[in-house]
Amino acid sequence: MTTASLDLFAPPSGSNGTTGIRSSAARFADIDPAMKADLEVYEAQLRRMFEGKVPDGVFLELRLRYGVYGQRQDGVQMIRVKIPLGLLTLEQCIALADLADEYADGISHVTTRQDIQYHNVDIRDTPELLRRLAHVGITTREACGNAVRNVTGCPLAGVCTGESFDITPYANATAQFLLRHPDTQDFGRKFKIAFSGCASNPCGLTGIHDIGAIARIQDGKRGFKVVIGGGLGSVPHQAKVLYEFLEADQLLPVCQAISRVFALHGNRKVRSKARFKFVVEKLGLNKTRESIEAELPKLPHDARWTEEFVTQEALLPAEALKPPSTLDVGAQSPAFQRWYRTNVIPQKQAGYGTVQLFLPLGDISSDQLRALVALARGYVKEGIRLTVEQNIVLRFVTLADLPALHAALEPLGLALPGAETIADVTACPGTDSCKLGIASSRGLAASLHDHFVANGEAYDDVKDLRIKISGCPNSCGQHHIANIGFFGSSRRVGDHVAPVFQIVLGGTTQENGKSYGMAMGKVSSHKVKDVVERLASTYKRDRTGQEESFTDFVGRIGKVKTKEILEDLTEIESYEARPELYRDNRAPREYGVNVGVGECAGGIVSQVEFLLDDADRGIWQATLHLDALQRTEAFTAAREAMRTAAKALLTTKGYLLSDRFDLVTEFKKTFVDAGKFFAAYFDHLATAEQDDPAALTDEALRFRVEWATLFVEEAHVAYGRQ
Amino acid sequence: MQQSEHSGDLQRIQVKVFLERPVGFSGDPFIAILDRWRAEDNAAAAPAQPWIDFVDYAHVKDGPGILLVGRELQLSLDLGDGRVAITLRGRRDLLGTDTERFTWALRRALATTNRALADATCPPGLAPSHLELELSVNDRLDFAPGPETEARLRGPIHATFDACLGAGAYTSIALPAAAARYGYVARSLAPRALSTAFGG
Repeated sequence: MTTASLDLFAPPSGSNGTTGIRSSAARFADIDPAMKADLEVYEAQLRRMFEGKVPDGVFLELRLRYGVYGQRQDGVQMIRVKIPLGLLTLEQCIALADLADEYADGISHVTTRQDIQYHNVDIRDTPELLRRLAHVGITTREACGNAVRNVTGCPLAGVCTGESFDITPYANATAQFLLRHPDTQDFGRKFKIAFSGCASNPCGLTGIHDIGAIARIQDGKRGFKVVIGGGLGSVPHQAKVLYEFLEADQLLPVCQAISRVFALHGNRKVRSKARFKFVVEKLGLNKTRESIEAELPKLPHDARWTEEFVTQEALLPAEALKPPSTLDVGAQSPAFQRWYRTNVIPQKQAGYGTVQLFLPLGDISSDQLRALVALARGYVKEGIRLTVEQNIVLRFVTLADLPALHAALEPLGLALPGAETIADVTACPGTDSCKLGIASSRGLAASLHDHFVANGEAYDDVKDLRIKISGCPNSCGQHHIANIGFFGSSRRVGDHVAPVFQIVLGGTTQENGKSYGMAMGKVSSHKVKDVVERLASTYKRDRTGQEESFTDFVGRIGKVKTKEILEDLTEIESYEARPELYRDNRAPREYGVNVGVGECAGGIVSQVEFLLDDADRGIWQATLHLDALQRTEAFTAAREAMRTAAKALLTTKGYLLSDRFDLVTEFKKTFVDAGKFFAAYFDHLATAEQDDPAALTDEALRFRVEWATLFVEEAHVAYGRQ
Repeated sequence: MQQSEHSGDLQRIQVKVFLERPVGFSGDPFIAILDRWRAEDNAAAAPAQPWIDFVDYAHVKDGPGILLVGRELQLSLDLGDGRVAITLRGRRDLLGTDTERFTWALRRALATTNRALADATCPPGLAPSHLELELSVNDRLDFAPGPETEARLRGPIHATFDACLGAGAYTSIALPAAAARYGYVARSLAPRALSTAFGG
């Protein structure tokens, strides 16, 4: 035994070969040949990277294409495991649980795009981990990076009462067809595809995807309404209708042609403008359609265009383990009934229900997952499906089995009621692990979860509201389509920086994410719970009737009234008065950066703070003008807010407001070129200086206001960093 | 699967030191405790940074709890199986014989437990009346539960228990199949303080 290994606090390192890479290539010789070839390339490049033979940037893009993603913390990786439509066999679930225990931290995290993510993985373990996934038929290929990401689909496909037909084989065929396809290997940015069985329910969220396909039957033929160019991100775009009806056998060639158009026309220079939605915006819908149709004749015929559906249909039969049955729900316990109301969805196959398991923050432990598999074998024949709401569904449960299943799920912590209700909060990783995170979205979600567990029944009348949280403006938590959305930011008050969340109201997941919310003001991360309580109780009290949705309610009472309702909650008290506001939810230490005591310590508001507050006010005015259809006023207020925020930051560098200087030039030189302000947001100011508001479409005008919001938020963050 | 490539290199040792679970227990104070350890240990070991960050999974029922993630191992306030334990999960770079590796891991887990219980902010009532310890292996490639693993590791695990608790002074049972990993749990026959482990 070495001396080092006797040292309790300093175990030895570097003993496992020159790099310590775990491979196990020889053990998994029988995996799918394409996956095997992928992993040989990946491992070879990983070894070369350790030897310093591959430039960092090249390896970065390569590892992203294999689902290996850098975390905020140096030395560990996030692994995104691509699960098309969230479909998993029970055997695959066991493998996922084991791998989470062995290589990660014992948690499998279900994402908003039906992937599984592992966190805190050592990159040297990744070849072995990826091979073990491949061994059970799972690939991480193109799970991250500039590629076609996981193809998502409604988890109720095949059992939903409202669907036109089961989209499962079509969605899975699309995923398999585009994986490693030569036409999808040269994108400037990621590309997302979603399928929905109907237009009305939110399960597919097709409106926020680069391609959305909604099942339709026309003249007895199966096909899809195809929408393109949707996406959230910091500036959300609603997808536009490419085809009202596209016959199913045209789906794959059209997806291929769209991929080629994206590869040809996508912006490769400016990352923030590189998504396909900007191609559609730049070319316009008609020109985009023409470009797609110009590509179609160039495609060599591919038998998979029609055969892949048949293959997938045979691979994925929808089957029940037991015959249908009935259940007298009213005769069951109150706890069961409460769970049944929110977590069981009647299927179109009479006598069966789909059970939704609500996973707080999308997390399931390996012990839970193994126990679930053991349990599921007694109730279902097919595997499980992951949902975009970060939950799990079990389908084809015969109704009479539901009480026993509920009782068996209870000790596993998997019988929480409230799936897809206000309690079922969606959150991105935020500052827990994401490099872009500004505030702790998961800490906030965990705090809200505790609140709803303790007070769940108080929200029964408004349980259909949805809350979604992103740790930054990029909307990985989908805050734009929440009824009550939040995205993280920061606010400097005196010498301290507080984590805050911008409130976004007016979005909806309904009709595949048909409307996006707008920013309403900021609150301390510790007052979000109060905001939710206040909004829910006001809605409950003042809505015109049960049929008035929250989104309609907010629209009816208007922004001014809504802001009044929340006014007292938006104050961020000083550090001296409430130091806890300067620590994020469930965080052990003070948030952000402390700065030395300045000359303004006496309580005088500095010029920069004053101006940033003025910029906030300008944004608020812009949104009001937008609502009132005062186009020029909205544009002007938004542009002025950006100018004010830019001036605010320049005052911190010795510029005086009375100085004569070209604002855009000086700001670029001082902040953007110095890497102190996100360049893409600066472009919004530069663009606004050139814009003619009269020439802007309504959508473009809304983008200008959104852009201005982002610019001002970035100014606050930049100031917080100083 | 085919023949082992790295000949069963025992790395992914898991140790649990079980604690009492007081009524109304909350592990939240461990967010601050583990974060403080991260800062203290990293400063002491500078420029090496043995700890990467803490992770909070307290919202997962009976889950991994609150973890300190390191380059060679993870430590956690573990809430698995509805119990409370200080858990160590080895990741890589252990050296020595199998018994030496188990011994190092168990000593480290016990030292960590003592450190936690001595912390002024540690919730009261966690100190166990009996010593109850799990030694297992989180590696299903090389050490899946079965006769081969039993033949190789039963001896080293019990040699480690003997050294820690005293031969004949404890009972041990194999982990159930549901645990899906090879290992044993030992419990001292008589009440024992943590400080008496490995002969005090």
